[in-house]
Amino acid sequence: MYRYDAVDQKIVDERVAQFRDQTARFLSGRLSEDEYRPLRLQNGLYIQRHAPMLRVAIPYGMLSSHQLRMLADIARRYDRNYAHFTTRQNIQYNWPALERVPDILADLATVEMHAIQTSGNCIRNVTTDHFAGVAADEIVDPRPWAEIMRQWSTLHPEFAALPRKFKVAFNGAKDDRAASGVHDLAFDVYRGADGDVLLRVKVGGGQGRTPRIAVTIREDLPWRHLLTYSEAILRAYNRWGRRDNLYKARIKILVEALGPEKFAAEVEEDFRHLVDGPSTLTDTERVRVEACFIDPPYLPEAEAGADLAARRAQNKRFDAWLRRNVIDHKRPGYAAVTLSLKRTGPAPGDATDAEMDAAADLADRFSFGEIRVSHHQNLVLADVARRDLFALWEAADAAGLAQPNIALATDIIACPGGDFCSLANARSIPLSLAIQQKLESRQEEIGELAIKISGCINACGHHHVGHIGVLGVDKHGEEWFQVLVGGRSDSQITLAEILGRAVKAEDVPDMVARLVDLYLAKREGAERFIDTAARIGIAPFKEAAYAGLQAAA
Amino acid sequence: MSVLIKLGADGPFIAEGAPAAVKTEATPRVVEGGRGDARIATYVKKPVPADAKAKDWRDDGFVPLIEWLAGERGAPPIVLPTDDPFTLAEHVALPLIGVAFPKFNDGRGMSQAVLLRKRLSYGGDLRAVGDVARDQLFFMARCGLTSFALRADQDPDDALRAFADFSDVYQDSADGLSPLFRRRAP
Repeated sequence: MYRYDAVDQKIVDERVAQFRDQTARFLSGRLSEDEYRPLRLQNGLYIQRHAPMLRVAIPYGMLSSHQLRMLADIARRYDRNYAHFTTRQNIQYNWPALERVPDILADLATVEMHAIQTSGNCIRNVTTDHFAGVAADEIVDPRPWAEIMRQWSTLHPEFAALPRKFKVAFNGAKDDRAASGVHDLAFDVYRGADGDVLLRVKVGGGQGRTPRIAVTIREDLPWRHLLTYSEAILRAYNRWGRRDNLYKARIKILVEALGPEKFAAEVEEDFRHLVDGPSTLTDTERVRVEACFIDPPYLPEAEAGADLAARRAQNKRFDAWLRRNVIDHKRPGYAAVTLSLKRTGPAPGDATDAEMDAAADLADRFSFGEIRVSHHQNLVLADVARRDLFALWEAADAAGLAQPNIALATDIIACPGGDFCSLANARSIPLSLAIQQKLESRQEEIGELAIKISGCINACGHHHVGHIGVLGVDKHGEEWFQVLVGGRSDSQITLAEILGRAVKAEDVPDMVARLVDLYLAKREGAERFIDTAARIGIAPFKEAAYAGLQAAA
Repeated sequence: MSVLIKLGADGPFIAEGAPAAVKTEATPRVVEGGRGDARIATYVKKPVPADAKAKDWRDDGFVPLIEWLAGERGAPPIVLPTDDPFTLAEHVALPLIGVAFPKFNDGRGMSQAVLLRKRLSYGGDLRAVGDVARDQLFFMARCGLTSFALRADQDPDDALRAFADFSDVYQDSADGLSPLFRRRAP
């Protein structure tokens, strides 16, 4: 993974000193609340329902075991012994004291981490595929490009006060696992006929109040122009994006208002003046950053022996885990393993300090000391020798991290919701628990099903791209939920459709169960829920959803 | 008068104004019982007073760009966030151009400054005017602004320190530094 050199370290250290000074000025009354707000936000510090919330960046989801132990230690020393992994591959602390946040950031800096631009109207943490570098269907490892983007966007002076937040994602695989289509700016990374790296540039995707799928404005952009082309896009957005209405300030509204062709023409005009300028990437830089993402020293004899089949036959839970949590690797003899943070009980994505330490130990024992965070709010050990799978399973199971439910009904994505977030209309966490309890016993029979819950229109829980999406809405001060069907975030990205009127929280699990029953009745062969939904359309789901429910009063 | 900071060959200096006169007494915020949230209410937008009128940049010694182009040449032009900076293409010999920052969190002036420097190769003094506060100065200087009319409540000595917040930067902007990746030790 990428390691800081002296300059990277200095910039992060100086950022800590800067924020310590800003916080001291705020606490002494010399800096107004209005002015402190964007400064603290660009250091990840929100003010939430109960306390400040600190969001720490995990660039493109990559962590060393050393870093994960520090995250656990921070949960212990500054918070309430747990933290929350988010849908943007970040981690959030829910209970830090404001005056100690500079100390937390200083601790993070000692392990090459920071909270820079995890919030605020700026370029946010860059995200990518959690199986980057190991996926069998990968065309180009997107991580070097994500790291180059991270550095360029860090403390960019011109784009620190954009109309609104700006999220960038990279996808380098055939199957898009980065949900790139719902990002403000996304790059598909692939190879041209000569084998060199090219970029497909997509803009204007996003969820929230006005969900949109990103449109392609440039094909076959040579990799050298990644930063200059991005500069042209960001400048067009900074200059022309709306600033009069918070809900119309994202780049998707600008792209739609101008039309993708006109927007692309604006970008190309500016790019014409930037192309081959100083920000044009060099071979030296490409080689330097790519060298950070080389394969670990894979062992030649990693393949499992005959005992694996015997253990599968003897142990149903191990067998289920192999089927659900273990995927093929580009390297024969290796596998990528997901550690589930979706226990029925704790909030999706929450991990205690002990669980983080346990995951770090597993990474050291089984996966070259590295670990990834997925936007599905799980942890991934990307390089596990297949002969170690049983030992890993036993250890993960002992740590409570071996729920065999990846991509199943209980692998729910949920935002923190009204229990924590001051924006939320409704509580996502109790609802995700109720749905997990409702479907847990049948999840193997149901198969792949992505349920995604957001507590408000801002869509942190990705409800627009859930096979089943659930959105909290406020009705006269009460919590109600809208249910959506048919969304997906993969290469065939589709926005889900709202089934109809909102229902009360207690009616949602039964409604979801009715949708599942309809699918099971209609499915043909090995169809997944999303395949059946695409084939039969939304109408039967609308009908099933409200069957037995009283009409709205 | 307010304080004007300029970037000189040896770094930033106070070019005009009396530093001591503008320092204000600060009142520390009350810390209540260790609860982090007690000191910050959820952000509520303050109502704009009914009699608040649009800012007249002539009070700051500048003529809005559109009026300036129309012939009002009593003072240098100031580029507002919605202006087209390329209309100044014929006027790059001017010794001073203002860039308006009506609100500290409106970043359009940053792009205006970069375009004036890099696309029009403007070489004169480029001044940040308006809601110009300490915590924006480092980025403003990077975007090619060379003088800064500080907001009246700002501490000038503290503001001078802002230009040293970071000893290095990653990206190219309009201050003449090349991107870090072109300068890294091999």
